[in-house]
Amino acid sequence: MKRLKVAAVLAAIFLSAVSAALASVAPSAITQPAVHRVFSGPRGLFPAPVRRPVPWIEGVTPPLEDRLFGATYRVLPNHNVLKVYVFNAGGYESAGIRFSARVPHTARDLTETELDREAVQLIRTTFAQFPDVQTVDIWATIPVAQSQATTKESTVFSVSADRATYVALRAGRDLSDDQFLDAFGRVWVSPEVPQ
Amino acid sequence: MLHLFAMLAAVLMTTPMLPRTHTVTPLPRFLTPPVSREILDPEDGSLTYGPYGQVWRVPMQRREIALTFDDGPYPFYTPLLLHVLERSGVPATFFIVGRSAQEFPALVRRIVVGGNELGDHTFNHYTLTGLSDYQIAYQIAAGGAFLQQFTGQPVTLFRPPHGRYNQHVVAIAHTLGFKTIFWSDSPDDVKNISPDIVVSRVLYYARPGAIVLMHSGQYKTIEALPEIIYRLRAAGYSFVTVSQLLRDGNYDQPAQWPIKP
Repeated sequence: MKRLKVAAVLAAIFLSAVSAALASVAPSAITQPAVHRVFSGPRGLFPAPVRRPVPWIEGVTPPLEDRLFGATYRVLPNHNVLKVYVFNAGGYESAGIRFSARVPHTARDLTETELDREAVQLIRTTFAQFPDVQTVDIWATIPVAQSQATTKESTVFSVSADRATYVALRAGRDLSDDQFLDAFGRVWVSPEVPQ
Repeated sequence: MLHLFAMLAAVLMTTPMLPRTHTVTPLPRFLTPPVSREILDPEDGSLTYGPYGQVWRVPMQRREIALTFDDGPYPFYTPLLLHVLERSGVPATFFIVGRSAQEFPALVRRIVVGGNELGDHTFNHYTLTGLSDYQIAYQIAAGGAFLQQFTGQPVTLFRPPHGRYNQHVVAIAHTLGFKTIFWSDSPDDVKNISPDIVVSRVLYYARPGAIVLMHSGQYKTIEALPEIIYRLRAAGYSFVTVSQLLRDGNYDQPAQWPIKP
């Protein structure tokens, strides 16, 4: 009986420690609801600033990034845009789009043709809908297995496009995706490249 | 709660103590011997050159300064950085990671076309002090060899990742024909600081022959750069690449500087 009591006390202590530890874990930025939280400060209660969770933007020029994400996310059939970056510096805008080379919810990677198609769509959409964007870097990544990870993902495809080349290419509309990307110096990086 | 402390104490007591001192592995014989002893600036006694030809700052009277950017190239960040540099007419030295250059070669080409200089930042950006001599040599040589295809000539400048080095790292780089370039002016822009602080730190440490360490993938640095360039130019500084700085500072004749006793 005495042993049971001791065990019960120890179990209670253990459970209280676990629950306290779990309570101290903050919810991630993605799942955190956009609500006003109230903090107690030295002058009483005041509302904390609202932080809207937008994991797809980097936060340099958020309104532009939001727009670019909205525009590019829709044009890809797999909706696999992962993150967009836009920086506006006095009329000169630079953009970056990272998309997944792995088809979402599957273990299949995009084929080279599919990657080409998606990259061309992203370049055309960005330059057509954002007249101030002068350069756009587009790159595709695949996740890296945790066991061999030095980074979270590995780049398998990249292209760095500038508006001047895009305008020059726009005249020749019958270019294939391959030719279009080659004009920008498209890069194909094999995921098997030794780390 | 007490039992937690008891468990912790038990774990600590059973864990073998780490050695308090570490043994220094002797350098292999095939490495080229040091070229000099440490060389100090005659004015303030600060370190300028190291025994294996390392450079912290080029002692000179002329108001020249070299901006260097580590890591990358990074998509989106590097084009922005190049835009600011081109618009200001400032050349810089980029210490590039071989693996990143392999992923984004178009950006490396753009760096070179913009009149900037490339330096080797190893192939994988591993901390070299934790590697074997063979691995150190591989990382330095592979990074330099990969960058050579963009410049058309051997890359001779090298900077260790994270600035971490020991005698093996600098001796191996020296044997492979690289000049190890450190810095004398760093705003520590990888930390969470504002662009204003980046500006003020760079200006505080600026002096003739200084080598400024900044990083490619930082917004704050890109935002701070126009102000840094404007303020330094107003103070009479001109911007050069590291190689130019070494030439202007007669790096090849360091004997004119006093040697540390």
